[in-house]
Amino acid sequence: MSDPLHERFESFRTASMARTRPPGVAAARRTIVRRQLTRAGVLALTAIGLALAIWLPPGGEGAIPATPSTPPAVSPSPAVVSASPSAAPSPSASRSPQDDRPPCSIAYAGTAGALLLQSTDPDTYALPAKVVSACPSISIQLTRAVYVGGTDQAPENLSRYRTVTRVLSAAHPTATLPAPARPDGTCYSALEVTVSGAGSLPAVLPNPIPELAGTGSQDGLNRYFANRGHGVLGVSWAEPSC
Amino acid sequence: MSGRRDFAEFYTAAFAPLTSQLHAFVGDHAEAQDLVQEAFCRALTKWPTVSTYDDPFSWVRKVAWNLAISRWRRARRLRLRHRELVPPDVEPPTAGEVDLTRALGELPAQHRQVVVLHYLADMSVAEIAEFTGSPEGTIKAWLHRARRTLAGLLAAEDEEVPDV
Repeated sequence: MSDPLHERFESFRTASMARTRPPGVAAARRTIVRRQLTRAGVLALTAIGLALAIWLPPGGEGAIPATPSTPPAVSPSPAVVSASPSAAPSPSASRSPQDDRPPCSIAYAGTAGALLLQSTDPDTYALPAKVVSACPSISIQLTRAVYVGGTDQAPENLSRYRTVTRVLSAAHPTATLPAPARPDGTCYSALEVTVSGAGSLPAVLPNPIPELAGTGSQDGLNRYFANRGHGVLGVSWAEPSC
Repeated sequence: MSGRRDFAEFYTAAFAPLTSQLHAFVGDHAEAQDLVQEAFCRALTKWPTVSTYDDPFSWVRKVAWNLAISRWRRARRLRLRHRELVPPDVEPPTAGEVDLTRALGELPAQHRQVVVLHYLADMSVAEIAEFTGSPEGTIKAWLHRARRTLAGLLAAEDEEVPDV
């Protein structure tokens, strides 16, 4: 039994393929490099801004004082783990006498802490030297986690599968976070997220992949983790390929 | 790693067939190229893994179709990102292409996807069911309705062409 639509579609396929002009592998590589540079640029600019916020006195008056003043108190937020919780935090040598804020409080916030990290390659994170010298007691936990869902196109929730954790501190200002193990195969939704901030990650989270894929924006995911004291450093996802 | 494939070779072989499928689905050739290029960008970033799959093409096809279905195309972001990459000397569409894309545009998205996967991706009902996550019976029903609607629309368009 002949199907008249076959001929139509065959003609369409021939005409469409003849018109196709692939942009090329080089264009794909350029796109990827441009996206990586954009991400790194935003990260670096924000880190510079925050580093300046730590170094400069509030109100923008005057320069950094040449001599240290009275040691201010430090009150780490829950988003930060301390490498030695009982140790007294070291004061910053660059604070203004008028500034009674805790000197490293900005860096201690989970989300802001994330922005202080300067990453030179996708898996490596480092505390800028100026931040380490300003906040010698700083300690930021980094966690890279894989969440997986079922074979549905859009499962309602994703469950935590594996995590890898490192702590950045003055003693260990650089850390590499390898990708956590994943289940075998590709027939499942997977979300890989790297966050800063202490505390355990949720065991189950609402599946953000439809929003990530549908809008190209990770604002919702950032908010979700920010509400739990974590700053998102990187995210990637894969839909089921069965 | 013997399972690794050369990305450039894979790209060259798979780009045009996949573009023709998405062209039929989204109704716009340039947009289809953008979507396929984006899918290949994602494959390239994961190529050490994707290249070891038994069928990397099915992975890229899935990503490309997901992009099309997720309506990311409507945000026009991809178009803005890749538009400069599309060469200006693209041939205009043929009358047959226009007729078929117009008729396909009349179908509900699910029917359109099923009929495109059947005729242009050469997938069986079982394969389409697995690809879309829908039962085979549903796929058969959608395919039947899509064929019937398409045949009617295309016959009507043929009748509208005046004799010269």
